[in-house]
Amino acid sequence: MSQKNGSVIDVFVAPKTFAFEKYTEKVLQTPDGAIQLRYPDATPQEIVALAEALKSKRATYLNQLSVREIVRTIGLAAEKWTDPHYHYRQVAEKYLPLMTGYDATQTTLELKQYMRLFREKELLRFVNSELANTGMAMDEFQPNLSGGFSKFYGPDLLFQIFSGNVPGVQIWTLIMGLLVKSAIIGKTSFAEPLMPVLFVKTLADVDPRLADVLAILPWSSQEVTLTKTAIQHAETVIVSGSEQTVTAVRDFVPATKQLIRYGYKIGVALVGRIALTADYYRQTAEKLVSDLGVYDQQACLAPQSVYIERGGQLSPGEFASVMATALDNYQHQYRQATLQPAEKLAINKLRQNALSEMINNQTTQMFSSREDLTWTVVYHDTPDFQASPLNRTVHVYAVDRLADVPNYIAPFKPYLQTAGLAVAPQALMTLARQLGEVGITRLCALGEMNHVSAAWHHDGGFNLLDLLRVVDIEANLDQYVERFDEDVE
Amino acid sequence: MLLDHKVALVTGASRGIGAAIAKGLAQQGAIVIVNYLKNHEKANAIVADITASGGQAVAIPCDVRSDAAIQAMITEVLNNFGAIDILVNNAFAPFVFDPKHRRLFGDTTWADFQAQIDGSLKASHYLTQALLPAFKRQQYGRVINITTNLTQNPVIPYHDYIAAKSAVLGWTRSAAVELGAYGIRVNAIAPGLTYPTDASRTTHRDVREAIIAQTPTGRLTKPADIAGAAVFLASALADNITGQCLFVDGGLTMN
Repeated sequence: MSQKNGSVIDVFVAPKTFAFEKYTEKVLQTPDGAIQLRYPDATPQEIVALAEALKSKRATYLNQLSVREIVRTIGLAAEKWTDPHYHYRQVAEKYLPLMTGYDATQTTLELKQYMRLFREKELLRFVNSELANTGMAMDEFQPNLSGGFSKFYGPDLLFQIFSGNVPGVQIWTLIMGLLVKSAIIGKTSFAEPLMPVLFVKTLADVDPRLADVLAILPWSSQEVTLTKTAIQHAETVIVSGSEQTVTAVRDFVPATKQLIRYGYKIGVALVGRIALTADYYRQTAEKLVSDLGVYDQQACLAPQSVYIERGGQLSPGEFASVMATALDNYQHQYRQATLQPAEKLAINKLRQNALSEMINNQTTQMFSSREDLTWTVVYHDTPDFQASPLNRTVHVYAVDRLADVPNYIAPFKPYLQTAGLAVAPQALMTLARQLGEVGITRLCALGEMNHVSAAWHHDGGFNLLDLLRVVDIEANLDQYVERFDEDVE
Repeated sequence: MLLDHKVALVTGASRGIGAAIAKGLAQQGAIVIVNYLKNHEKANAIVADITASGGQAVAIPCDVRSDAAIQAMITEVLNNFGAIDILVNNAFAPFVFDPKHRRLFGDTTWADFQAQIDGSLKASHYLTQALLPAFKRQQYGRVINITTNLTQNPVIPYHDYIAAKSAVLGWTRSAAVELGAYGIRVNAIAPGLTYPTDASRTTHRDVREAIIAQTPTGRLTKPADIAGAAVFLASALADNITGQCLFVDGGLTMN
């Protein structure tokens, strides 16, 4: 991490041999004083030159490596992050909370767990979940079932538009790109421009030539020409972010180019009566609260509506009260990030709506932090679905049977993603089938909603396969060329 | 003030420790329900005292040994005040604290035990249970049970009384464990010999002097000392204290 004048941080990284003409700075006010973020004031011509440089480095190096070698390098880089004294980890732990406003302890804990997803053994699992034999078909033509051979090719250049809602989230797609042997231009958000840069610097420590196929830099989404230029020179575009960001980028990508979108998603949690027994209910509430608390629901993985089954030892209303206490306690341990005015407005509006609902319907209850907006639970006796303004704000619905929940969320199919479950083992498969039918793509244990597994299918798609194109050598060609073997009689 | 906008119910508050607690809570801004069994005049006098000093209080009679009477009282209070935030279980069944003429172990009947258990444990339980739905909805509740330091060192072995108060202490702890999840705190105060009160009048000078001689602070406990502890436990100062028993006896009991 090059830091100049104490508080100037470089939030970009480019191949060693590539220099931008001009650099600029953005001042970020933090509780610890101002931080200056330094980054290139890139021109469209520079983006073109960068794209060409990256492609050429990819052709001469990354594309020559086997997937196994790439996995080993990334694994070694991730391994460095498991050391609490590792320089870049310390930089991340210091600056990410300042940049994002997230609680420092929580950020450290989450990063620790997250970076371990990219260790060698996890990556092997990740690759093998989609491509057999550690992706050997990306290295060489492999015999296929129709008698010929097939090889998988990744894009020569990936243009990635990263979101900034959760620290480090960008690393996932960055690694996906490397595994399919793509050079990458990554456009970061000013909300969190640091983690991908630090990770590329770690890669450079392990293998400088591999890091040389990557360039990460922020620019404003208003700089449409830069975005369009990057899209034009990339083979594939991955965009992560809000509905607005994703839609805007979609309009720039020609139909002939592949676009992968990770947009706005909604999570729900389902709590069965079996998890509301005297010995489990507190644990259940605490797990749910950690799903709500980690990164203040900003990750698309977090729950926005929660369904509580009637008939447990605690009524859903009592459980909502226990949840509320647990949320209050969570705030003591991991404080909520500083809210933006629009976020405050959204929570206040939700609270006002809840109060007017309470006038008309005595069964509706609101539990909320008294002095501030750190947490809000609105309990409804009649099931429905509502998105949440996030930031530890949640709707809790009582349901007679969890099997009914798919009906309430079905209308939101395009947006559904994760369901966190606390249900009886006998109920799991049936419920999973029904939830899958209405659009849920990931089912996980309550308490783990923000922690994806190494082999998950992001938004129901394939992480690697979706980036690949397949080249087939048909059986007839294989047989045909045999004719020209001069030694055969 | 420490207890602004809080509504407190103090049982057995027409005299002695209960009256002092009612006044102490009112002084800190709480609206106090002065519960009493039959001493209408004394209860009204406490209310008058509180209002004269600018506080707010009402007197409500109720035999807290009766579940039905408790329900009726709680419903009435909730209808009129909207909430109860603090419950002080101070009432107990009539008992004569007379070291000279106390009932010996061999003479203590099950009916004696039952009377004390009904007066303290049963009353505390039903009162808290009646308030539980409201406490859970408001995610807030402070329950303060008055026990005695005699549970630790039965200087005078009042068998039935001490057994019942020990039960209250166990109840305090187990209730605290479960109800913490709803933002409810359950604590106890164990006064030493509190003087002067009607109950301690028959504890004569010899016993009082013997206790004083053993007490680090060198004096007996006053009703206002108990009120101070109650205000503390009822206030936000004690937000993260539950399942505890605060001995207010000049240091006579040390745990």
